[in-house]
Amino acid sequence: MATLPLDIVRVREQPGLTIVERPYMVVGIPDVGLAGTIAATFIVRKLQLPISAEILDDRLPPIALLRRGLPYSPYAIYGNGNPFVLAPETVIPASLIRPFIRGVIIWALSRGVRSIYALGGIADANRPNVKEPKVFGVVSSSQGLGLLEEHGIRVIPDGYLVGPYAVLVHEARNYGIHVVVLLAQAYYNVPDPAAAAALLKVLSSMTRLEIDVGELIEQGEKIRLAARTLMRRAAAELERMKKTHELEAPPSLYV
Amino acid sequence: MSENLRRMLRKLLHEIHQFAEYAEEALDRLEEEVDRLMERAFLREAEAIAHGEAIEPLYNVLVQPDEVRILVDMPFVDERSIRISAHKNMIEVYGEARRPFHLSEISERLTGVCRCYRAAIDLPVDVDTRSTTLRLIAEGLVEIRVKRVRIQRPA
Repeated sequence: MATLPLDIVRVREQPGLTIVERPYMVVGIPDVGLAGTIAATFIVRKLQLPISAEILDDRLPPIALLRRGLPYSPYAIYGNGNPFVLAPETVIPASLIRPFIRGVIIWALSRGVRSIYALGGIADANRPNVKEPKVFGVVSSSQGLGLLEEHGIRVIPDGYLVGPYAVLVHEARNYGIHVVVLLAQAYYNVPDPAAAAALLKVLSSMTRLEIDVGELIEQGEKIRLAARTLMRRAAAELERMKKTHELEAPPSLYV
Repeated sequence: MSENLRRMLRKLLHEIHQFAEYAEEALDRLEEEVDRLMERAFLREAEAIAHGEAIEPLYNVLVQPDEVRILVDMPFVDERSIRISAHKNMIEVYGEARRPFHLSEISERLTGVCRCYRAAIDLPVDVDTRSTTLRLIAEGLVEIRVKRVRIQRPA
């Protein structure tokens, strides 16, 4: 029986890319409170990671990110595997999430990545009363549960996950790659650097990444101001992908 | 099946098909219109920024059984300057920046100076305009709480 070709985006790698042994990847896609994006961008900036690959597709918005006069895709992967960081500078259209995530996973696997840490936010009405946001975890396989337990991260036992990370955990199972999704309590559509800092603290304890997050707190106002336009675009996309579904309980809990 | 019934079914199927096409076109038009309005909103803000006018803060409205909570993000705002004005189903917020700041500090591609924030926030429910409270959550981040109007049911 003939099978349809798999719909994936194209990943263009920078020539001469050298990769460390046992590489891993951190993903920060614009989401609730931009917690993951702020965290991922902070890693890129603090470690001064160069672009290692760009995601290209005719269906992505026609945007070129200009850096010192040169054009790049706003959907870029940085670093040499210690870690690789996927830090899109704009939102991923809801209709392209599946091919986008598949393309990234396939590229990551081809470069030896076996673990992906996805960083994001989880909307919490109680967030204004919380000084240090808590971090929760979702994993793609039962082996990951032990890792969360080891680091004292509470698993989200029941509920829904909506958006790119929902696709990521599903596809990870198809490709045999381990995904740990870390979600910090965050404001829904206000950039949340404190949530980003909470994510990075947990990430540091889980990986060999050492990063001082003090600046994220100190520069909180500046970061929130700089991220407002992206937050608006992300909030519109969250509406499109029915992100508020995450606040609902699954039907099995009613009975 | 009689020829008459067959003819009626064919006609019905044809009409369903036509309606589906019409609905799809209408949805496409609606989506385009939403995109156009959003793009226009972004442009309006960019224009306001270029002229050094007030910028609209990000905000989040949470409707609860007894009250409405509105989180308003105004980085670098002077908290003493914040003014709130509540209406039946709208809250107006105004706040001045601690110091006027050049938007080029944030991005080289932005021009203009931000002096203040201003927002007119539509609420999905009616509120008691005398019950407004303001709380500072973090620097430049405030929470406004306002009680909902209770609808009296006839006895």
